[in-house]
Amino acid sequence: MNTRFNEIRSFLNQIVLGKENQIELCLCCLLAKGHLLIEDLPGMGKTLLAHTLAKALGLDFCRIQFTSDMLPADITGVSIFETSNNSFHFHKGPIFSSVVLADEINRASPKAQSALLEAMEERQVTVDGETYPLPHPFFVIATQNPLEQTGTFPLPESQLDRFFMRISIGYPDREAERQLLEREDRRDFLLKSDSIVTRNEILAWQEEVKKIKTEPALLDYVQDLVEQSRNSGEFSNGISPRAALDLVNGGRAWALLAGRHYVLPEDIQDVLPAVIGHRLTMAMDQEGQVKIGMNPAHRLLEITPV
Amino acid sequence: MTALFKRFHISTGQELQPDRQALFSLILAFFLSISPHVARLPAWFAVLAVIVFVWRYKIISNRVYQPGSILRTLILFVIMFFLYKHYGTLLGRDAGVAMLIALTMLKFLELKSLRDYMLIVFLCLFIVLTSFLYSQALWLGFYLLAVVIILLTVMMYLNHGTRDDPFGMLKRSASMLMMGLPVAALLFVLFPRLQGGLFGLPGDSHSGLTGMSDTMKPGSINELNLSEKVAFRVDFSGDVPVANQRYWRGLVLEDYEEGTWKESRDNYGIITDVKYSVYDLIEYTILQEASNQKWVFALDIPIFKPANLQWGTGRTLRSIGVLRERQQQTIKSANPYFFEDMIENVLTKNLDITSVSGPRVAVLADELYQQSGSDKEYVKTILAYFRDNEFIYSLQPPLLGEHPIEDFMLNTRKGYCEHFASSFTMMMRLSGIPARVVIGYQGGEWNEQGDYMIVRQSDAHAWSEVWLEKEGWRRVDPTSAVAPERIEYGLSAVRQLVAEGRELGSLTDEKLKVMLKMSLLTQTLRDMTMLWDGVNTRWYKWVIGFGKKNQTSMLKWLGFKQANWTNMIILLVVLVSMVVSIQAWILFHRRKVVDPAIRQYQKFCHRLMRIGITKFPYEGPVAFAERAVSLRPDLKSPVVAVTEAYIDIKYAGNSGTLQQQKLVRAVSDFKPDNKRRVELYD
Amino acid sequence: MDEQCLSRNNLYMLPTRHGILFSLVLLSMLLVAVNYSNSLAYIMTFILFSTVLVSMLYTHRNLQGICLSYGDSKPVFAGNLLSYTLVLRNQIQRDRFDIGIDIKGDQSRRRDFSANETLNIECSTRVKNRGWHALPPVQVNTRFPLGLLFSWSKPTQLEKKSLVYPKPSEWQDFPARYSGNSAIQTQSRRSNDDFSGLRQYRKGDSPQHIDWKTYARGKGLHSKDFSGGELPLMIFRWSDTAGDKEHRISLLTRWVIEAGVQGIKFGLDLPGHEVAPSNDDRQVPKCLQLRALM
Repeated sequence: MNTRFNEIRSFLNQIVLGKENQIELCLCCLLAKGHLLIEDLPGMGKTLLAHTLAKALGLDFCRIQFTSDMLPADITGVSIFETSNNSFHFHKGPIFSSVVLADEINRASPKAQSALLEAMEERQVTVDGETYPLPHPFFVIATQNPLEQTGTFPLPESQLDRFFMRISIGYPDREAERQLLEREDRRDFLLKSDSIVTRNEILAWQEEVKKIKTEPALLDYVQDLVEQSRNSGEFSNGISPRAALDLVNGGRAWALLAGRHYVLPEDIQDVLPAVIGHRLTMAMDQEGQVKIGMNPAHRLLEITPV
Repeated sequence: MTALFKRFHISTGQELQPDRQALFSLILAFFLSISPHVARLPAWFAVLAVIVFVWRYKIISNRVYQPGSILRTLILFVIMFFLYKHYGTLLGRDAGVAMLIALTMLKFLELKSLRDYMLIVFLCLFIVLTSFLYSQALWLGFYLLAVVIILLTVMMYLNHGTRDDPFGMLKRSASMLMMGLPVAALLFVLFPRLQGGLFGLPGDSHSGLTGMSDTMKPGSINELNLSEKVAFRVDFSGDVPVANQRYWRGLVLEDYEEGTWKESRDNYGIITDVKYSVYDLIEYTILQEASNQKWVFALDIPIFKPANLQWGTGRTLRSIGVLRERQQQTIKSANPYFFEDMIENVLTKNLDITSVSGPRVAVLADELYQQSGSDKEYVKTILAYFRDNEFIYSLQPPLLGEHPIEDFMLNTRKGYCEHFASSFTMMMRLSGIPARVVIGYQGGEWNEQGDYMIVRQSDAHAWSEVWLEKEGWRRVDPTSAVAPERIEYGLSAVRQLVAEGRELGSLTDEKLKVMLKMSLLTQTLRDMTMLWDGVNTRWYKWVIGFGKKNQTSMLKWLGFKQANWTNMIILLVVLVSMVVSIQAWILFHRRKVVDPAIRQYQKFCHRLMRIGITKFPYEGPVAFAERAVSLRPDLKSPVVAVTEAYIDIKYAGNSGTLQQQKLVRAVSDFKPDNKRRVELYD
Repeated sequence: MDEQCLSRNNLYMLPTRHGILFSLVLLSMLLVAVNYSNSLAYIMTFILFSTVLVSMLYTHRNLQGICLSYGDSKPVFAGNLLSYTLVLRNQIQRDRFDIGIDIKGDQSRRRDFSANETLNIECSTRVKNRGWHALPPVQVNTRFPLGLLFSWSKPTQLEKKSLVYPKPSEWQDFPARYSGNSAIQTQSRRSNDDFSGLRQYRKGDSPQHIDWKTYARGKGLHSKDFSGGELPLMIFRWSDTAGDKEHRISLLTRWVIEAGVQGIKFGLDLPGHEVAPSNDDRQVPKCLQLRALM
């Protein structure tokens, strides 16, 4: 299994340069059956990352560009009356793909956003009383631009909570940038290459994640983290039970990726910034100011002994 | 004290500012502490409490004016005025306790620092103590023990900086108190006691006690019979006499005036010689309930009495003071007994018939005496007269007329023990046989659960004693002629039979036994009450009644020739320090059982710390190992070995003995050189 | 002494003022019990007394077996806050309650910690002078459990020193012989014009160059790299500086920091000490330590 992971990693790293950590988190998110939110500036390679992932995993890929005039039906699909046999026929929307890239999700109206988020949560789509299951695996990568605020509908915290992870890609380092500039267009390369793993393999891995051991000592640590986030008074609100569960699952997937059959506190620490980052905010201090420059996830790790 | 510390540059740490939760727990503890007193306090205390606590609530919620010292003093004077009006004094137990409670309540208005809170806890402890001045019942003891534990918990909470776990504190204070019990028991047993109080027992009220009165007229005993209260309990050291021999003599009544029997002052304290056989002596200990009177009840006839009792009229026993509290007396009685001769004026007293009225009764006595011939026969004739002439033992007798004896003997013929005893005695005297009435108790219920006898007020009884030539005083119970059930089975049996419409004296013993057999439920209920009574009795006997006497005898038993203060203090100090050292040894050798893997790992971390590599608390084991190896690459293999073994146990779920041994070995192999510390950059 | 372990030899105990007040209360309770010859009043007085005796054991036990030591601290520049860690180790495995920790010159703290825990207290102090800074003496105390007794440890100076680098002076140009290098001359350190990318944060990097945005995104500390072509090799000499000793040390410190930030390969040439030119991670701390202890 490890060799297979390495194959995927090397393939992805060939195309998305210098972003090993982000790629690892992406895979982790996929294996833990979570959904991913990428928050970064345009042109950082968000789409490329999603596309490459879909390609490498041999999954069908669909990109939905979110706009302000978007309707839920544009995502889920629509029933159309067909005169030929006098009945409604459901035309599946773009969401019926294994990897869905929801680009600039904060541009769409809350209505459209919630259509996507509902589908993400339930892994099925209900239109006109008819329920259609979504494919397995089902992996949503949503992106949003944190800087542009005009004309956007930022996701409320309750919606953010449904994302398993939030990551940002960031600039490539100098070396990677040079390679990027020198080499041929990576999109062409992507088109030329074949998928590495099959859908069934992924499903098997997702099952494998569930078997990863979490010993009492580890669960104690997770609970300590949760308690610290709720009781230390440094954060405006604590970690939700769903987030805690995600944390454990993320740790499991991370351990699997590292080729281990048990979870270490370090696994939790590695995934925690991505899993908790978007669900935890620092509390106001006495002057009513949120402490600047303090990352809540890092702060939480710092104050919780293993 | 703090200043002293400061002078020696010792930091005392800071005291805590009590929080709102501390206040609420304190209020709760306060109410628990005063709860036994509530019924005794004047009603306006409720108003005071409402004012104080509402005010307190306003202070914390709306920051209302907290009363200053002048206002507080003013309130105090007002309260003192009302207390004086209510009790007529400000001294003594009742007023003192009320004052203490009022002061504590007022203290709630000036809560500022930790010291005020602690003071209230101390005052509450004192209030708890004062409850024992009113009652020393077993249940109260346990209830107040729980209150003390709660107060200790509040104290702990007030002083505990982090205050995380109130339940844990409750557990801790309870276990501390339990650990203190052996020393407390030693102190209780060995702390030198005084006989009587320091300033003499305060004469506070012991009113409202019921007991036998010193006169007898029809109805006076019947009144007592309605009460199921315990009169006294008896522990027999040998065999227990059968029911019809258990006559507990209280008073001997010799004067008869206008239908009322009275104790004669003339013959008080006169005792005459009694002949008895040593083998017939019965030794028993009476635990007498407080009665507010002096009577002590003994089986006939008491021979040896304890030194603190006196002889009353007709060989009855009296305590020197009024019985305000329970008392224990050990008495020896003998039955049968023979009086040898009697003092002349005693005899005349017992022949006095001046206030017997009615012409027909004397005629009846003469007639009956003619029939029998001798004194002894005459007694039997009278008893037979009762039996054969449809005399009825009744708890609701008709009222007697102008000549009560005559009326009873010839007309109504319905009555209870007093009527029978009174009439019988008079019939004797009318025929020139000295006779007197004895009142006391008869019977008693055996408590199998505690092996002692309970005598209740309902066992109160009256009977006669007759002087027969060559025999002396003989007990005759005329009631037994009419209602033998009363004597054998007690008054409750009589009540039951009457309720069922049976005629008294008509049934055979076997039938009676069947009829009076209790149902299983009643039997269980009775057993349980008896068990409770037994526990309580032991409690009074061994705990409440523990005093100088017990101490002396115990020390004697332990081999001390003299039970003086110095001996006791020495013994006490030796034993207490022994117990405390044992406890200290146990406490200091008790460690919390920590996961052995964690202990080993801590040892490993400690060794790394000594060479300058300290684990950050937030560091996981792998991250720490990586850092340690990067700082000291030469230690790579042992560090990795320990870390791997530790992870294997804690996170991979392989916590078998093999893995544990592996970890122990890896840690013991890990001995980095202390000399080579990781200095920063050298 | 590296580590102070608390035992009978260095622990003391006295009643607090509440304890003295409580003993008066106990005495008056005893008087009531004696006066009324009341057995339960006796029992209650004795129970409270013996509970206080037991609590004495608890108080002592609460401190006994704690070992105090200082953990590692990172070197700081003079005039900055030195943070260090006080470590309370459980030599005897026991839950500890309400331990007061007093470090001289710092506010006191109160903590609980469990049997399998090692308590780390983060402290900081402002340091003025360069060189080895001895960490302050520590005393621990407790009023646990009832607040009637106060136990404290003998305040002890633990042998642990922390390094304080000299305070860097105001910026002055590198020695004149390097000023010909255009790359350095044109460098304006606060503009992003010559921003050449991010690199992993190294110890000694100026906080001004930390890219807080990436840190906030949770990717750890990165420093902005400023570069301009080929960097020269520099040797800072004692003779490059003038003025009093402290000032010269400060200036050299500043140069070392700057050179480190810019990734310049540099060395030191001081009377009695020489550091070979290098630009690896350890060069800056090494030079700074040398300077601190001069």
